[in-house]
Amino acid sequence: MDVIGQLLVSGLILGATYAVVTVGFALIFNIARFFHVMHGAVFTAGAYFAYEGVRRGLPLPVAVLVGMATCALMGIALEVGLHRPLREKGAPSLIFMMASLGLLYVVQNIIAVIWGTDIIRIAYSTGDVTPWQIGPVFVTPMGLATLVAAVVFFVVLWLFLNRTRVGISLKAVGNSVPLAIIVGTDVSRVMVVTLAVGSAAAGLAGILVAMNIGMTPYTGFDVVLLACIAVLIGGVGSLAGAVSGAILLGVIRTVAPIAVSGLWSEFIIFLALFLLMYVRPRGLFGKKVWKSEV
Amino acid sequence: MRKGNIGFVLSSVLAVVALLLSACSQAAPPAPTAAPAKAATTAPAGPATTAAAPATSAAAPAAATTAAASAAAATSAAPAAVIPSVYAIGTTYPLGGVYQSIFKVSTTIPHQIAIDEINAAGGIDGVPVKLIVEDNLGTAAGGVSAMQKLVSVDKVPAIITSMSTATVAQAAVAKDYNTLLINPGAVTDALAGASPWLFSIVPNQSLVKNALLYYFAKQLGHKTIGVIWQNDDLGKGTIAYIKRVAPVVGLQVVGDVAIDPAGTDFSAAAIQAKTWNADIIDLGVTQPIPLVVKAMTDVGLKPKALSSSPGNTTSVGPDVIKLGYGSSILNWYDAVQDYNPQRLGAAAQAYAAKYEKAAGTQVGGPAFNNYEAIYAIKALIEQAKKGGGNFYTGERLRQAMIDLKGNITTPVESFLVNTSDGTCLRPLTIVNVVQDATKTGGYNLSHELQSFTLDQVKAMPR
Repeated sequence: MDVIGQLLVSGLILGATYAVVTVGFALIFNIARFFHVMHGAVFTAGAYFAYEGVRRGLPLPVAVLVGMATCALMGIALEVGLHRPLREKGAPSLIFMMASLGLLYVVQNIIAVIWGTDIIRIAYSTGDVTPWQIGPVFVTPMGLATLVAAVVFFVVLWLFLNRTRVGISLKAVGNSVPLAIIVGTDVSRVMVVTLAVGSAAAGLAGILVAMNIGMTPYTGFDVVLLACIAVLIGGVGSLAGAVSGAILLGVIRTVAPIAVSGLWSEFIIFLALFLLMYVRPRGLFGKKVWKSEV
Repeated sequence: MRKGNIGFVLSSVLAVVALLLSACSQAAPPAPTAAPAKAATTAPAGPATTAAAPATSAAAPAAATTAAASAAAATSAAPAAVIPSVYAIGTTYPLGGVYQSIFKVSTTIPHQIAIDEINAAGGIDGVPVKLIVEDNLGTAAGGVSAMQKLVSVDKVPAIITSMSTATVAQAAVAKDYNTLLINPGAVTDALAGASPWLFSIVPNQSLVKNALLYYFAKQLGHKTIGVIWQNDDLGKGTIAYIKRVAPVVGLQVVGDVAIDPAGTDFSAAAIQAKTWNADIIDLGVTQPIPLVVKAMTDVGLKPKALSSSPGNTTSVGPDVIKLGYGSSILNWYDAVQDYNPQRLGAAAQAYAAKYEKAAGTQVGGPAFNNYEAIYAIKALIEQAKKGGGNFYTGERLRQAMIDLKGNITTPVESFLVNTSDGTCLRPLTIVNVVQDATKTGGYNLSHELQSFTLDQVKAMPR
């Protein structure tokens, strides 16, 4: 029982990090309708910007905000400088994805040139880390901070999407671009806001990972792959589904090695995805996106 | 038909002439310079060479060889040595990713100190030593690829290796490349007898684990051990060895779990290890150690004793401390070769001081081994040179190790390389990590507990 409790807590913390990056990825996917692979590089860049801020003497909370804000600006630049011109030329989603993939490699290598390929960590404590014991379960201050940061982010995002005019427009465009245009929504503006919010989420997740276990310029690719899987598991078009999918992935990744070797965790994840897609192609909470698109 | 006959006759005549010429050349008495002349054709093409025969010099290797041959033919003594303009030595280790900081501290700095020392003292008989570094990516394929480049482009006859997986792969092809391999860091048992061209100057892990397991069982009275191992040659060697030897010294293996060496989240493995309730947790792990220790601490796993691959307390320990998990490793034990500068003497103390200044951390086994690797090759060059001719080849350096019967002396220490299987025997010391405000980082990474002499080491069961 102690083991199960510890596994669930560890899996939840890992899943919370995945969830933050996945929500940003899902937001962009729901609006732009392509796998925004560059999200992985934004995730990494957020961590490095915050790291640089801390190194230059900024207080940690300020450095975190700087990292997120810079990622939001990256998202805006991507939309204005890359996505919009491609959209205006009628490029298919495959071209968007390939451009995104190419840019991912470019940004990763720029980061490697500037900061090196050595692992970096954002220091959040000068002393020794001591985990707290809650009953039979251990949790570190950073683990708890990750959970709190994720919850706060989701609450703010929910309020933004449901209580602001821009957020509601964003959801409307996600549901149907033609209908949104008919009711007078400025789709270009919504695209910009989506990229900004989604990228800020990626930045926050990157910062949490850099504080918890560290970051290299190449960490982002694996993370964006997990985000893709989480979106498919949770269901395309559903942010709640994306969060659920990400947390499920975190728990699977933590629990699976107890039953089988840890080397098989990727296999278990992809097997789960395959089985789910076979039984329920829409994912756990997916809407009938494909039909509506047709 | 007629043309065919003429062709046949001509071919036969040519064949007969060729056979006669061949027979004549075999019948000629063997020239004393034949071996050096042949070796010269495979010698490094890059650096110009100079024959050490009196008043004879040449810019090109071929000319130098001719000069050496002439000098040798004139006397019955060893042929004159063909001296390169620079002794180019290759080395391969990971230059990027998670390995970067580890290898900078354990490898780059020690190599550079040794090279600087040798060249400052006039090189090897006036010839400077140059080190050429290639990235082995920490993989088997990367190791072979780096070796190919060093041999074919840089023409180095000797390479200093690193990491078990890469070294095993390089050992498999060393003969094909006529390249001597000196291993100062890889400790997997798979390297024992892996190639006649590979010589380790670091004890393999079964040797040091012997001492450690013996200490745990006999001195500390521990009964159970669990192993977290990475899925590569080193990890597989570790778990196989512990399963074989632990029962011999009275330890019960209560569990083991494999991890991905490229992973970052090891909480699952740590939680699983916690269920074993083992007295000792052994980490058959190298570069992910800081994150594994972090995961263990995060889930409240603090074994009575923690052990790892030889030398990791000093090479990876500082990273664990930087991560904020210093107190988690206070019961971290290591069985290492004797690298106590105070005991080894003035040269070792001088090196330790230089190293600590450059690396910002205390000197440890890997830092000593890599420093000694350069000097080991220097000793082999000096030995090979005595035989004259084109001595700076992989084959001649390998022969030099055999001629020395594996007895290598560096400025800091002497050790024995078993020339039959390439393994190394050294006196060992059990150390652990204790807090010490007087030391760099606030920790003494090599607090000595017990030493084993070379004879005691030889007597341990394997």
